[in-house]
Amino acid sequence: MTDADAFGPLKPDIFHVLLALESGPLHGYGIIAAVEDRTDATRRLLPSLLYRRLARLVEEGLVREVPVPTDPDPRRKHYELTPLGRQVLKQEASRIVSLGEQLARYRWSES
Amino acid sequence: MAAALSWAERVIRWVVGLYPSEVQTPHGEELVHASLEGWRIARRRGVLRGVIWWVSDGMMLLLGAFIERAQRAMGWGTLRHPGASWMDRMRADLGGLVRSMRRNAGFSTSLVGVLALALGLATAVFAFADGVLLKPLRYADEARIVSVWASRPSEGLERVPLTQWDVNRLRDRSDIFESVGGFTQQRTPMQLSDRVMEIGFGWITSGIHDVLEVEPILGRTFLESERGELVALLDHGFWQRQFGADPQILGKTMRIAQQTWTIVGVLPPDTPLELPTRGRVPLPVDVWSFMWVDGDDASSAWIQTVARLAPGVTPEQAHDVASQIAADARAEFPERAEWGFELGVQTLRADVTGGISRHLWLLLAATVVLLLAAITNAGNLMLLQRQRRRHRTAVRLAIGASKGRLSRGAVVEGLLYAGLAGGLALPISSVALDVLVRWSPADVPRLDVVGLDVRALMFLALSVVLAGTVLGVIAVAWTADVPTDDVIRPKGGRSPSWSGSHLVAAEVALAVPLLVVGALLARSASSLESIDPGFDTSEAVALRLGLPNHEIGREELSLILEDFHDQLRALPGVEHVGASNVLPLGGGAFTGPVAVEIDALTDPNALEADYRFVTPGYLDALGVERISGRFPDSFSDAGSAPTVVVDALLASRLWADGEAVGRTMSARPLGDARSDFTIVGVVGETRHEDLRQRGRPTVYFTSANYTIPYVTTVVRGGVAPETLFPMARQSGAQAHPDFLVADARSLDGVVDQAHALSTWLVSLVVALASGAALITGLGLYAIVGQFVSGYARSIGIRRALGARPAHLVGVVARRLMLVVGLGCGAGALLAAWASRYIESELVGVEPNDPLTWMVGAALLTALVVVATSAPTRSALAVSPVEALRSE
Repeated sequence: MTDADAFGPLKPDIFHVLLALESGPLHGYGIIAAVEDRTDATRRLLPSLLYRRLARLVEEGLVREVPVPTDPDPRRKHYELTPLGRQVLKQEASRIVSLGEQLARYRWSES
Repeated sequence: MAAALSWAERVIRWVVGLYPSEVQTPHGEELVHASLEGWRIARRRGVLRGVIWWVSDGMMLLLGAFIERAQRAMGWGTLRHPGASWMDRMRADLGGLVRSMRRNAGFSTSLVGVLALALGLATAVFAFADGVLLKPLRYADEARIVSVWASRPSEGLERVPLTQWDVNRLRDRSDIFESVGGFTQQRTPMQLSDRVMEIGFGWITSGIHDVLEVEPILGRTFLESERGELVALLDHGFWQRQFGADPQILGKTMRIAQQTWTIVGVLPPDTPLELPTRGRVPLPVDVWSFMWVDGDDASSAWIQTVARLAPGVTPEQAHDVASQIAADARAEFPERAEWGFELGVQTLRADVTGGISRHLWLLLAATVVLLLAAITNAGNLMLLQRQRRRHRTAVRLAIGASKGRLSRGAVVEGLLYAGLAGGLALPISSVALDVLVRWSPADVPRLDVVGLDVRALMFLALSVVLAGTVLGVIAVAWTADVPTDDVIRPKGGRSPSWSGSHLVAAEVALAVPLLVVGALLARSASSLESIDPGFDTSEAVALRLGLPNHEIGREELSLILEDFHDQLRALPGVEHVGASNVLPLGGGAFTGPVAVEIDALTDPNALEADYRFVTPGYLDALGVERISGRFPDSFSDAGSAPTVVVDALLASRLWADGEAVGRTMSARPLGDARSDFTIVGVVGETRHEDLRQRGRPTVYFTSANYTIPYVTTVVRGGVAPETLFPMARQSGAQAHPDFLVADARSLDGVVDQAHALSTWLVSLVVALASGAALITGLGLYAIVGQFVSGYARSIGIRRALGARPAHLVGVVARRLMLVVGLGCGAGALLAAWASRYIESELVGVEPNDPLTWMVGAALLTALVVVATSAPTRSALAVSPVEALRSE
């Protein structure tokens, strides 16, 4: 059992936040926009909830703040995945894929 | 655009400013920025999008601020104590709590015990009312099934069955009434091998099956070709009980009412035909037979009617259509116009439960009031206990404990108490429900669906949450009130507290309406018991009979009956014996017209009277008051003019002077030709439907010609029902082989049954009111005790200096008057409202009856004095020397 196993199945919001950060550092609003883009706006993160998710992810060591000197707006905080975060994300993704495969093979009853 | 943005930014900054500083410092700018970005993008997509952003995201931002604040107030902040998990903190709180509960075992027991009792009772009463009133009937799409009744307001008749004419008009409107069925039912003796029992016997038209959509599990329903044949469908329970669920039952026969019936089907188990009855007592029907109706007769109203509404039709629409049919009927039949004839439609469920629903709602309301009083009491006890811990709390605050943590402990404590009480309430409610069901009078329908089910458990869970929330809120409010500098005051030096007084005032306010309603109902019940039913109920037994009715003429029947009566008269102690078709208080409509002139009988305005067909000796056996004339001592002769006895009401309605003896009147009994009768006696009135209503004008016929197969014999003399029953069965068997004696009941029992429902309701409400009063007394005892114990030392010192004990009493009394007065004022308003609600239940007492209100006030005063005198006296007993020494 690795450290990543301890996180178990992730809540959908957390999974989407991690997935958004997979391609590189983003600031808070950037995460919201990326999640909206990826899910065709079916999943929307509210700012007031996002900061709590981020704070928890930082606390748990899945995400860390990272300085981005090129950003013109100094108020923005940028976040990126830690190696542990990346591992947790990958495990969750493969769990979902395997679940999808099981469901694809499942024979639904007629009724 | 820029102006709009700065406006939005200002609002967002203001909202973010509402967040606690623990959030604002590290995340505030981020929050403002992310929200602003969201708003900007939404606004670019259009004004509507912008508005939607404020309604959804903006509101969530605001809500988040409140949630964060609440969590921090409770010490549950997720960011503040990253080390300890939520579970760890909860466990720590619980550990402290269990220690504290052990220290205050008496306090915890009384708080949890009273709350558990009230929760258990409330859950039981809820389950009872829910099962009887709210659960759907077990028919497919039951909301579409309605029953239809006629009423004749000018005659004072509320629920009259329909005529075939009415049923046909309903059937004509198939756009509204998809199917229409008729039924009628009664109880009748049945002989099964050598046993005799009384069964519920019903007749149904074939349409009933289309209305209720119930198909037999064995066999079939009736065929049109079986018109006039003796065929029967069995209720499932009856089939199991009496025939051991015999699968070969079809085609077998049974003897009911001296006739042989062929069994053609068995109804399914979970859908008995639940049909409303004309009287109040529901009648479980064991055997159904086929009722064939045709033609367009508009004169005999005997078809009790149910209908299935077409899909999408509401009962209100059906009611409007029925009203239209009634209007047509009034236009077509002059006597119906005289009656003010109306047709009414209501759902079958409302009809089945109509007789009991007000009683059950009242009972449920009383139980909820008791529950609220118990919750208030628990809050009060908790507050007082916190008050005792005030010093310790202040010390904890002073050495650095946060108010959030203390509040959290208090909330957990409240929830724990409520949860414990809820757990204990479960077995209590199970026992209470069992008692309620066993003890409920025969008038209560649908007891078979009453049980502690998911809905009842949901009710209990919600009540527990309510109790926990109230206790928690009280605890948090109190903790917030404790000043941190309290610790610097000497431990006993503060002024005596009177905390919890507003809660006790609330308890008083809840107890007052219960006491008043209980007292009103109790007075009403006692006046109901003092109502003279019009006959002597002591030392008399009623025997329900089934006479042989197969190919036996009425005169021969009367000889058989008289033979039976003669044998009973020979029994030791028996004084009078006689039979009637209808016993008082049994209800039922056996009526016909009476008039002074024979031609007036056909007048639609002819007086409608109850027809009683009695044997000589019945009026003596029943013990009816004889006002004038004589009682017949033999059947009126066929040769001479037949004679009758009438009651005083009929005499006064036919003749202004009320003198009837020797006069002649006309009537039309049992469909006979109209004939004249000489009145030989006038008797007092008896109550017919129930004790509340005066009887209708009544005429007693004593002709051998009018003997019908279903009669009740009354035996007067010192014989107990259980002794008489076997002897009567023996005598019956000697009179004729097919003679059945169904049961024997004392007349006292008949009267008791007539007010069983009222007695039941009164006992329960009085018990609940007493419970609320006890709880209130407990609350008063606790606050006065707390108050005087804080004051005792100071009064002890004052007494040492020469002050009089009356001073302390005065101080306590002044405070009490405020609390009790406030509670009484609010309670009186509630009581005035509640007593108006029960007005229709009251007999012989007005809702604002001054005596009852004074009794309520006196009870309350007594309660206050009893609850407060003990702690006051013990405080006065503190010796001045002791007080000085402890100082």
